[in-house]
Amino acid sequence: MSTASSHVDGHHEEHHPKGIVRWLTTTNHKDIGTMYLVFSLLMFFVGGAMALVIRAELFEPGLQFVHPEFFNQMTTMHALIMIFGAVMPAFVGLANWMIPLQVGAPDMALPRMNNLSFWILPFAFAMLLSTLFFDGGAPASGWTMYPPLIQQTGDAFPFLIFSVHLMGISSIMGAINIVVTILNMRAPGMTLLKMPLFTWTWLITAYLLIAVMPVLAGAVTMLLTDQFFGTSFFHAAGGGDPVMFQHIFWFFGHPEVYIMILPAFGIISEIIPTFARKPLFGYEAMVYATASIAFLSFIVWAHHMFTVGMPLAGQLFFMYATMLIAVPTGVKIFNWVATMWRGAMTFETPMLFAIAFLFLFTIGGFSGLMLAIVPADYQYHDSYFVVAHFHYVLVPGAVFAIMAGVYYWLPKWTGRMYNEKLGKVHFWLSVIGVNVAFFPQHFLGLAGMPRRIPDYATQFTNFNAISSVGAFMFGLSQLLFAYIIWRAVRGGEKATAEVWENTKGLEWTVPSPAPYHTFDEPPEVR
Amino acid sequence: MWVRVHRIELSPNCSLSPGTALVAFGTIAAASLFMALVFTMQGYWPVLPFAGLELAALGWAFWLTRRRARIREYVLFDDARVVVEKRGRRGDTRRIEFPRHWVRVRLEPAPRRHHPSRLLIGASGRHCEIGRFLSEDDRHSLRERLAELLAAPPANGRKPGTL
Repeated sequence: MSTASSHVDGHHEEHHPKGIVRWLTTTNHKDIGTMYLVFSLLMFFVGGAMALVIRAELFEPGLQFVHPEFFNQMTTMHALIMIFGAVMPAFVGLANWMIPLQVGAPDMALPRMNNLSFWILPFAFAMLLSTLFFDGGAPASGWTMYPPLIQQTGDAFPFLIFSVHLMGISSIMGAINIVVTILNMRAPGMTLLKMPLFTWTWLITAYLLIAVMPVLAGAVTMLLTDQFFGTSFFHAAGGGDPVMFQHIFWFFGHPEVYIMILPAFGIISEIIPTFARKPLFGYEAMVYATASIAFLSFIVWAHHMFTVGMPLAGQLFFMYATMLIAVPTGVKIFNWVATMWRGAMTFETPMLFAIAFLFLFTIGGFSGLMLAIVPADYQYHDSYFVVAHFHYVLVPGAVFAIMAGVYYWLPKWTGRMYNEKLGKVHFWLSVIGVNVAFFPQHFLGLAGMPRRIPDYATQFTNFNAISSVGAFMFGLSQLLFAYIIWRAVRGGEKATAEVWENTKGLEWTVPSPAPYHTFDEPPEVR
Repeated sequence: MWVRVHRIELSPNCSLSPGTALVAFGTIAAASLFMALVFTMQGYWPVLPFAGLELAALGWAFWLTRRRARIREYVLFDDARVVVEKRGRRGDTRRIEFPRHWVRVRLEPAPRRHHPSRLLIGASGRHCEIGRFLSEDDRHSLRERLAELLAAPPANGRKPGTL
């Protein structure tokens, strides 16, 4: 028998360290979410600057600013940084901030692992970016790292592989944390089918991440052993198969595409009901559609590589399976439109971005359907049409959803409203910029301009010039985004707990800004 | 002698039952291992150890969260004593006894807004906190229930501790 202390442990005091130590050692989900978001914004600017190098070079035919080799480094690094450094960490940041608040949990299930999964990232990207200063420069074979081209990379090669491993470890730890948080820490009454859609889409995304990350890790490890340890997984001369790398890579890569869009669907599913002042149409259908898309993502990978050669039955299977994705995606688009139907809509900045997402992501979806058709893909493959397609799903798709989410939840994070006028200016500059940048690329691709080239035939000049103007417009307008966030952090009109009219969910029951510790005891969900 | 015993069991919120945890882990492990084994059979075995490592990490995460759910607090009343027994996440138990007639239950309001209140039970200058993991409503209900039990006359007719 032990005796009771006359003074029991006090656990309710706020005693977090200040300054840089706070950020290095924090295990608080809000701090870590903030760090992820700031990091991803920084990477967005780094990757964006690389995109502007590309577009400056392509403004007119001929070589003006950079050598072709450096141009290739820019295309490769731009993709790696935007995918692994900007979009994915932004979604993880939003998950860190919002999932505990949405399920009524006091923090993530594994807070120390959460800290570690963030702090791996700056090292991974410092390592990747440092290769720009190596002899032979940064990796230049495209983010897909196809052998044998990738094996011509100089000293940067092992650094690329190691940084991809680190990014993967970070993603896996983040995903594991999200799965156990959602499954184990929901407040009483918060059944799975009462969870907000953002939480649902993240649960499914985390499953995808856990399923495919070992495949990427294995693939890049085999590249490494082929290069340095004499194996021949992908060396044709040693009996290996370089095409198999493409299969393995895209077996990871296609689910990865959905990893970057499913949380975006979740954000849009939160925003549209709020500003349409109606409950989400077809909640359960949305959940099942998300799960269906996730499942289908595993059986469509070869549509990225139709031209590499495969049996007719394989081509047909992957073509039809890809087209099938349009069905659950169509369900989602229909449900968002039906939610807005006869709603009392207002058009604050998050809603504007959500509506732009709806239109522009659908354009990207349709060009994806065009690319799914095998005979058509033989024409479009490796052309600017593909560049236009994936930028339509990733920029006005994933990035616009992240921006919508930031505007939507920023008052909850900072306790201050952002400047609505500036938000709208940012929206219009972005939406015009993005379309001017990427829409002409469809025409360039259909006219036969290949991707990943620093120079081109003169007949492509006009559309390239227009595209570059749009890219600079979009890129520079993001400085305004950073300024709007900075202003909202510094001050502004005070936000209420509910922030917007007609908000539903536990995150809106806590004050704005959300206290450092929320839901120390589980709230009741009715 | 006949002794009336009341027993209150307190457990933290845990939305994942052991069965569901097994299903959640099993489905992802099956999918991940299936993929890794297919690649291995094709000769691309380095996928397998990564899948194994990752599943080990996932399993560890589930085990850790399940272990947290093992925390229990029991408050036992008999005619002479009130016993508070706390079981930690490692299965370690602490047992504290108070003489029933002197026991007081106190609900301290939260020191700051949006922070939880504290429910203290004790006697003669010794006390311990219970129900730290409960919701605010549940903590209030527990205080009322404890007060009710303390106010009830014990079987031997002695006057109980009052609040």
